[in-house]
Amino acid sequence: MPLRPRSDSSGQGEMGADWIGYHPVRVARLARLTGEAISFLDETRSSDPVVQSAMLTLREISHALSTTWVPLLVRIGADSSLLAWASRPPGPMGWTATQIAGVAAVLVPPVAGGADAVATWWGGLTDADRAELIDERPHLIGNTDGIPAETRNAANRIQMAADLGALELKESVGTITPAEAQVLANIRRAQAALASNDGHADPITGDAVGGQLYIYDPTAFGGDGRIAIALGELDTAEHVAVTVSGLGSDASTLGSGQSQAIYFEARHASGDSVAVLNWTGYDAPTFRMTGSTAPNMFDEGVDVAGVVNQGAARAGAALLAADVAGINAMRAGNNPHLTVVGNSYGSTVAAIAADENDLEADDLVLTGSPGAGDADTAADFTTGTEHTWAGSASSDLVTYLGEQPGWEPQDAMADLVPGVEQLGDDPSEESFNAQRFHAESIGRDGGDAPGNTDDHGYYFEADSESLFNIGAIVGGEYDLVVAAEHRNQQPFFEPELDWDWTPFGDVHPFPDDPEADRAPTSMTHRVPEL
Amino acid sequence: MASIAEHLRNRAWGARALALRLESASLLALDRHAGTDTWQCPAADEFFLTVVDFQHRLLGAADDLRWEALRLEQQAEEQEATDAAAAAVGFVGAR
Repeated sequence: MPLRPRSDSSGQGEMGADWIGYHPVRVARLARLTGEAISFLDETRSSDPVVQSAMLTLREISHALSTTWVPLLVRIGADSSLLAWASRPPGPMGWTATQIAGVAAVLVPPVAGGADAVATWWGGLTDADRAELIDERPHLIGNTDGIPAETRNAANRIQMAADLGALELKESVGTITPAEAQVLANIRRAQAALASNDGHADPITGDAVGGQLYIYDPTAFGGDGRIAIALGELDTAEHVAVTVSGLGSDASTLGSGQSQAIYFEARHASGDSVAVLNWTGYDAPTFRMTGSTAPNMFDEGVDVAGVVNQGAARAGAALLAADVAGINAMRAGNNPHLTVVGNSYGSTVAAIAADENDLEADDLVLTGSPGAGDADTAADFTTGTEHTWAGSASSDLVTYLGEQPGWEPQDAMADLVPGVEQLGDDPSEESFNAQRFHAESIGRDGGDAPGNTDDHGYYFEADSESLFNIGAIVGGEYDLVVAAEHRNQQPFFEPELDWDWTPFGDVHPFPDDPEADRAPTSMTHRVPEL
Repeated sequence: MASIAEHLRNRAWGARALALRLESASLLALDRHAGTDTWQCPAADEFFLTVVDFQHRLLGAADDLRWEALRLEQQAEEQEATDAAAAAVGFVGAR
């Protein structure tokens, strides 16, 4: 007798899309082996043009396996409710229908067809089936595109509570492993950020906005975690922003301040409903020395040298594009105005997604960018020149790491330090043709460009130029954005004709930034109370 | 400084090395772990077929790389012949 869908009570159905029989341990092993196969493909590199066709094949295979199959295998492998089945030995031809009868029919989302197929499947379930999935197998739907955000939130909170209970029990009796302790720290951080959003008051109405646990996988990326928490309602908000953080970000650094700051300005700028998703959904380089928890790239240059390249950004870009597409699929017919805000290395991730992964965003904001991937101009992005925005403080050293015509400091660094690769063009350069906005740090030290690293951390500061403009863009109020003059690169070497002064001429390693001559201002869309 | 022929031979070697690497990919053994004793459902069938398809594509890519290597080696030989002829003409001219 063939296995039948659980929801098919007629007995007439053939092998449908929503049943499964499996051996949990073996599926978990298959997930691990598939992950190893992907790593092998990703680590295979060559820049020779004659092998590019082969490299493209590898990339396509890797992408298909990592975006479609690994998440499903991991979800199924983690389902411990069917461990009873694992205790039965398989026959010589594998597990028979008789062996798995009674435990094999489990509702799982369809694999083929993407978020649209999942949405159709979800819509066809009975209320009882949905409730059972949320309560009994939340891990099967909590991170699945096509499921409504509020449902994912409910499922993920149930899963988080279960994980928290299990790990805190281990912690209390002293049997928790270091890896589990890291996962527990991730969960506690996510819980705190979520609680902060849950209690956050809307700046206009004063009502509680509420948080949503949209992606929850605290064990992903070797324990760094993959988590996304929203402020506001992703299912209904008129404006949705997805923020992508940079170096050193992982589940243990999750916060709510940035989301709340963007929400505040976007709400005041537009008056419309807003949701901000803090997407810690990729494996950002973290630069932790052994025994250290400090994610300081500048203090840990040796580690940085080993990992600063586009590899992690490229892998993250595919995940970002898939998750953004998932939001749009979820909102099909009622699509929000969607902005992706990438900060620092996160801007490189977002730029690559817009250049190479068909990022489905209406607007793209790149702040504190060390480089915009392989794109030559904003016209290469899905958001085009009109809707690609760059915020670079003249005193932010990191924003000068991008390539400039005639001078590529990261190329120079790459020549010196193996493993370092340029991260792309500076998006605030005139030749890049993005919309540059005022983003000077309120408390900048007043030094000459390229300045310092401190001013790399103030793009989301309250009442700052940068946050003001990000809020206007996220809120779709483009007329409120205050445009900045672009940077201009002079020739790297300019022969000096005044031989009395120097026989060598002038060297311009960094571009001229007109913003350095302007005094920073304090700005907000909030209307002062009379 | 490497000659053009040496450069071409190095690239051919790189293409052959990459082909060898592809043929040692763990993806090529994945189907053994994706059978009915692991899981059974339409998704399992689709996964199995996908893996087999990817294996064919990977091996096809390795074959293509060997053809590219062969082409580069032929170009290297032609270049060496050209270089030898040019050297001979130069030698005669010098005499």
